[in-house]
Amino acid sequence: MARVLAYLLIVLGVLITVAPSQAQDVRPAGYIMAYELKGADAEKGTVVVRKGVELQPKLLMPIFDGDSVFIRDETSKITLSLAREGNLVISGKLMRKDIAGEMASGDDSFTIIEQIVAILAGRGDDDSFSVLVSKGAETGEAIKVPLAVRGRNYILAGGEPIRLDWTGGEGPFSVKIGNGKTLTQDAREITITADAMAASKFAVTIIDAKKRKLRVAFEVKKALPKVPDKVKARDTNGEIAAVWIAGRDNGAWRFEAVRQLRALPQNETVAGLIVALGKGWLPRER
Amino acid sequence: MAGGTKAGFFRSWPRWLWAILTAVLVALLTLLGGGKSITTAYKSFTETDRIIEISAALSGAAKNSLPVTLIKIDDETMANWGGPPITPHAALAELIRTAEAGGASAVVVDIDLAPEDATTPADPALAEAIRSSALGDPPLMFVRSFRAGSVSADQPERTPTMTNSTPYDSLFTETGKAVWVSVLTPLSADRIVRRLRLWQTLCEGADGVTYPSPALVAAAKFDPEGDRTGDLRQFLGEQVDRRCKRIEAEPSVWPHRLSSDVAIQYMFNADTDEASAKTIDFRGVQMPVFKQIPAWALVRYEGGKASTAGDIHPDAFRDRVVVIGVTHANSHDVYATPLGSQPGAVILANTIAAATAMATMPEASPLVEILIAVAIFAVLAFISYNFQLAPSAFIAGLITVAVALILSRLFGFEVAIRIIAVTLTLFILHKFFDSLAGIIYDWSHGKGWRSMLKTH
Repeated sequence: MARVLAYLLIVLGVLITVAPSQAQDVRPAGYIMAYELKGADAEKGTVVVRKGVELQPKLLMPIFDGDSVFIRDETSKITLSLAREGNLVISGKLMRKDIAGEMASGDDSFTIIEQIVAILAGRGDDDSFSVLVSKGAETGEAIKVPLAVRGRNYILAGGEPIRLDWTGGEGPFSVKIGNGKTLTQDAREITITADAMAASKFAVTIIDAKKRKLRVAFEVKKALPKVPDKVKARDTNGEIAAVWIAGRDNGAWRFEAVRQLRALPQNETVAGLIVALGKGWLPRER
Repeated sequence: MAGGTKAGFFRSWPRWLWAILTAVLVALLTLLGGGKSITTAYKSFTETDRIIEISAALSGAAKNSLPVTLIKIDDETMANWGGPPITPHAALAELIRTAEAGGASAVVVDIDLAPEDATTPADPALAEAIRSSALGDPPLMFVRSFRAGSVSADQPERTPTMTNSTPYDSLFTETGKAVWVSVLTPLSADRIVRRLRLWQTLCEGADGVTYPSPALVAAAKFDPEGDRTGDLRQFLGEQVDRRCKRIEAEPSVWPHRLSSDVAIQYMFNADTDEASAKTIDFRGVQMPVFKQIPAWALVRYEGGKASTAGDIHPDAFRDRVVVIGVTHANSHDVYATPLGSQPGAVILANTIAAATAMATMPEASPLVEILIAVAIFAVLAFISYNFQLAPSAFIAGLITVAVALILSRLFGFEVAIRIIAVTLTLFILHKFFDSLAGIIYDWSHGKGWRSMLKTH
């Protein structure tokens, strides 16, 4: 028996040797992501203090624990990306930032255990496993709405009609919106009108010639969730359509949905929301 | 008889009490939602890709990993650049210059340069960036797009048969400052990207071209035993001899591979950033294996003109391979992978980071796979004979995970999982027939139907 345990220890020893090393050099606390120097800053050209020496800013310049980043002219602007604080803009009233801490890494034991627990607990934000697909996926003929998810897809009330597109399947398609009439068509798109969206919940059912069926459930919400204050809306040239669709449980917001189901007019809040989603922000309000 | 049974029941009451308590505990756990969590965890553990994820988390970076930085053209970048329909080539030119100025050891552009309209001329700024590139070895790498078609009646699968021409083709030949590479990732049956084609040969009669993947180029250039670029050149020539000329060529010095497809050793996904990436030792310096940065932070694009957003720090990309690729939603370049959905550019970054390990990964023959499976099975059978069920299940579980981890690093995830699946099937069959033989033996020795009852 002791021999068996010895063998097991050897196996575990191999496992441990495969594990990554913990040794690391000094890691930065973050980077300079953008800078725009005005007035005295443009003249002097230096905005970083490191061990008594003033340094010029550069894009992607690492900044370390103990550095200070400062501006002399309040119209200058320096954008930092800090591991602990996220994006931070030094401008206006915030004219100096003393940097503290350093960036973590993904190879400490706690992170590894955390990752494994997260994997075993199941991942909820994976598009590939939540995208709605009808039968026939194995042959590549399934009906698929690339942006719709299982469960409810949220949609903003009071918007313009929405175009729902799908791929795959074999026409003609029988399409039914809510309790409306069943339409037969070859096109892989349909417009959801305001009438259908008058109900708080409705579903679109698509059945193809081979009886493959896909049901997309929608829930109409009265307002968009709040956008974090620090996220500013960007000019999107009206390209971003603002259909609000996300999975109920995973909060996975989909840009495809926003792009392909186009409808709402250009709107600063909406554009801000899109940018926020792009930064990985997830809505908490339902 | 009845009195004896009653006495026996009371004598063994602690065991019955324990059984009842266990049943109540399980029922309570189930009612409180514990059952769902256990089912989820079990389902997660039994899914192939979850085992791959666990393996990737445990084993860390692949051997001799290369540091990679992705300059991503994401939704925010496209919004900042005024929402152009495709990546502006002028902005791409500026990104290439920035990557070079930041000390990149190699630059791979994962953007299709083939125009929709064949008459579209080359962008002057991008042409100039290629001409003036200081990257000689390896030169700038551009991912080539192909047209697909069937190559034989027996092979219904559509494979690359022709390249899509671009206005830069002649420039590449003329300057020698840029090369075409291929990034083809054959889909598994469940449409998940697990493999990379290390090289792709296209024939035209007896002539042809073999396009290396960026991973193969990087593996050759940064091989720990020295620069293998010359060996790679010879190897690519041999592929044309074999495939197009149909003549036997001498086996190449490097790489020692017959099959072009290799399992991708994923180390990060689209959510990984510098703070969550594994750290590797590259040329004596500890650095994160993966970083990503949005292109808008480096380059501005307005009114059809691109300009740098500022001076780049000279060490921003020092010793790192830079991948420039699109991740925005309109590209529709997103694939399911064992580590979740990833843009093609992130998959490409993974292949380059693990290039050395992948290019030198040994190919397991069916015989080797069977021998390994039988050896592991023997160990598991030995343990199950010598331990009670609970410790044997625990030890066998540990060994299975350890073996999956080691095998996946040796032969790739798919081979490892195949071996483990065969092993576990062998083990379950073994336990079934072992138990069946015991029942038949006891039955034939007078125990009758009671031989099917569990003995305590």
